[in-house]
Amino acid sequence: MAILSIMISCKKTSYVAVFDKTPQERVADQINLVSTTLTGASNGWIATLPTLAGGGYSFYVNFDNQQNVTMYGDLNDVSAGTAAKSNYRVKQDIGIELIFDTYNYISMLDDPNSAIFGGTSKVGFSSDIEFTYDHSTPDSIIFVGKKYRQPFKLVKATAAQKTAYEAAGLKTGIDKFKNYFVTNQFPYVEINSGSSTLKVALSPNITNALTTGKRLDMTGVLADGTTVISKNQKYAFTLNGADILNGGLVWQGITFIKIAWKDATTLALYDSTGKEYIVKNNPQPILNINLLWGTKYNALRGAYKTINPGTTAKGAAILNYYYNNLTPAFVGFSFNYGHITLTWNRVNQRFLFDGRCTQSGPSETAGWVTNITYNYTVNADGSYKFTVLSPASGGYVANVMTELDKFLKNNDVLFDYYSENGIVYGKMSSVQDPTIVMTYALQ
Amino acid sequence: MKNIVKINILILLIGVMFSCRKTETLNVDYSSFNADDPRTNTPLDQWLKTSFLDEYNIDVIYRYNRYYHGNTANVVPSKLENIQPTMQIVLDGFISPYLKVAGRTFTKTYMPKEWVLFGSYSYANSADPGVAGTAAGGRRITLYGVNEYSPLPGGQFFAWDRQRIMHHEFGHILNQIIPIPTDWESISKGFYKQPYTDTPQDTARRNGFVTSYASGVSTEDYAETISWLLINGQVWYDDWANFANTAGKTRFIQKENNVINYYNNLGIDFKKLQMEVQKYMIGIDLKESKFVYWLGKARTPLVTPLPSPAPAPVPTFKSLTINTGADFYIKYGGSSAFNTLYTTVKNSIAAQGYTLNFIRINFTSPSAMYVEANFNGGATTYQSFYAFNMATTLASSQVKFTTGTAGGTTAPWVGNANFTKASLQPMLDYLTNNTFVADWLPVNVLPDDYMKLGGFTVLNSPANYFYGQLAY
Repeated sequence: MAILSIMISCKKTSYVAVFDKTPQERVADQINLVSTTLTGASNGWIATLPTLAGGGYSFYVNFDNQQNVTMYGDLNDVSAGTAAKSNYRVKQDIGIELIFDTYNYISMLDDPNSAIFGGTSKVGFSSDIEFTYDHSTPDSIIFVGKKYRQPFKLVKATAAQKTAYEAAGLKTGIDKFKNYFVTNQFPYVEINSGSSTLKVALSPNITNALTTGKRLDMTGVLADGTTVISKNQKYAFTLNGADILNGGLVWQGITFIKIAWKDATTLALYDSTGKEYIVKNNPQPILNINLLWGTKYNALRGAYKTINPGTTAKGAAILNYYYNNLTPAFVGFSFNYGHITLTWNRVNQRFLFDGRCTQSGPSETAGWVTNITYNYTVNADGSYKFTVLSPASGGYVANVMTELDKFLKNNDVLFDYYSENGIVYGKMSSVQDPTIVMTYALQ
Repeated sequence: MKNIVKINILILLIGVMFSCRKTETLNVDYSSFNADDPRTNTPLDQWLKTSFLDEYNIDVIYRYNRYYHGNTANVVPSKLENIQPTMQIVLDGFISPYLKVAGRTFTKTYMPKEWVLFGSYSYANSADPGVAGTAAGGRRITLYGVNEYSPLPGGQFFAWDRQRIMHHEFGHILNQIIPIPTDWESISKGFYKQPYTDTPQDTARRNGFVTSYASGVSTEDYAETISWLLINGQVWYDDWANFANTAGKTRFIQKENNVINYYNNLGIDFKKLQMEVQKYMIGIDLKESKFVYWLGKARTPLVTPLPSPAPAPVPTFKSLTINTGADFYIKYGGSSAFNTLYTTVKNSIAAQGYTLNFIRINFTSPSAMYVEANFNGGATTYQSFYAFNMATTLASSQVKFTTGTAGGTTAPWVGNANFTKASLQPMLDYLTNNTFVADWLPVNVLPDDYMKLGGFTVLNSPANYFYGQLAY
């Protein structure tokens, strides 16, 4: 039986292929399809790519049939205004793969040398230069990043768009967009919700900071007057505004997909149905800052030896008492860095004053923290009354936290925005002595 | 029963032999496979072809391929414009010295056949110190960091660092083909420790390692020793060894000899190779390759615990001995202007009834030296000392001597010095009246004496120079 079974086991039956072509022929067809699609767009492609760790980016790419690619990107002024040439190839991988195989703007997002473009040291923005072909439509081709799985979407450009990109139109577009938001500091859109019209603040972060940059934030208060909804999504610049990536920003069920110029001076937000929401500007921030504590803004930060604009002399004296006295005479040791963080805990109605000190320079995590915790109540005029829940404990800097501690205990404290040079700070002032004003970075 | 089993197995085997008999040949057409072989034909590609592929059968792979750096590392491709300058550096500082010293056959045989270039360094994660180069299978060198290239003089570090990496990696390549001598590992036995990053440089040095990295494992130690001997030169290596401790110094000497022997067995004169690489380094103005740098350098010996007060820093070189009658002067000749001067001094001392043995420059600090006239009266040796200040300029290699303050009141500084003053005066004037350029002299020095002799040329008078034997 054993012999019989072995003898039979390798008997061939005639092989019938499921496909009409061999695997390598089918792969060759796919390679050919991707290659000809890429090179077939005579006006090139407009591509968008969210990064896994950072914000979103856009590119204008033009492939020739000699494995050369020309590129613009919205990373910085140079990449937006100057074409860079490099190589690409299409090859068999797990699927068909497009590789940007010599350095170009798109490589900067993947560059582990953070001196080049930022991002995490030795990692970069967690972005790819290898993309696996996913699918294509008559006017687009979609890839997925090999390592970080982000969608790389290319849409065919028109002749007019090609001309615009080649005339540094992307840089012009970015500059115009940025200028709009520098001039119009408190932009918002109106969204109808039932019988009421909600004003939703719009704030695009135009930097390339890893965790916050190239993201659009929409924050508004619902009709109940207290519920704050704050959402953000990655975006990339276009010739005519910005595209919101990853399928758009969903705010209360509405999917916003792009910001574009309606006319020369009017910017509008568009949702997935094509509905237009004109961007308007308010003289001051739309939302009362006190509504945003613990939701949009979790904390106020006083950076080491930094007196922000809007701080008065009396305010600066309180802050400098902390910054300038991290010395043996006051705190027993010498520290070369220390910052102040004032954190809201809305759930328990507490306010946390953390003083950090380190001997290893700027750090969010190194060193020691001294904490004072306050309870608070809100007065009729909207000011806050702080009472100590637990006195200074831990760390080394209790002796230099005293001035700010006194201020918090002895004054009714008002919070508001302070805005200068396009940067919005959190302002803290006294009801009893309006000449005491301190401004902090909002976190 | 046993037989039945045996017979069964036999039948089974026969059955197996027949059971897979094929009736048709496999029809595999490799030409239909979708090979990944990126090719363009740009001026860069043509240059790479003529310079590397045609000449040495070396394929320069500069198009990104994840396979070459490992799947998970963070690496970006090279900038196109940096490929040719980087490979020119490879050619000038690495391949050419081997070609010149080891010959065409060796170079063509052993030069790695695949050169892979990447733009950034390779990082496994955010805590990885990074990889700058790798060698694999005796056949491939991968160079990272090509995007850091910049032209000289700003790009000096890049050029130097590429040589450091390539000579290191090629050390591995040679080791992968011809094993490391078995007596190598015992030299620093007991001192290899991973991770190397935990070993400070000074500790590594005391234990006989050129770098912390070398202290990790003996194979890296071998590659590092080869590389640093070649790229920073003999004086750097000797200085590094001299300021370790006695045990460390012995290990350095053993390691150097081990490497020289290894290369000898390959038919390569290591000293000659070192000289060729050093010529490249002087070309890129590497300070460690310049005589004047070492004249201006002093170092506190590595002693643990450091005595209090700490000992004064010791200059790299102790002295330079000049004697126009010495063997090396006969071997290489000298400048007639200086020879005449030396003879005049010698004759004047002879007229005083003494025989001049040699004149020696004793370096006491990076900015001071004294000239020693060493002479005999009968069987007794006498010395007279004349102090000088010494001002060195690194960029131009210029050295200016001025009269200094006597270093004591003993006989050589006072009595003897006064006695021979008149005879020595032309020599002392020669030193103070001229601006000199310090260099490894003579220019026709042979590899075995390279960096063992040093000298001074009168500025703008290349025919007027003197040199002598250096001592540490």
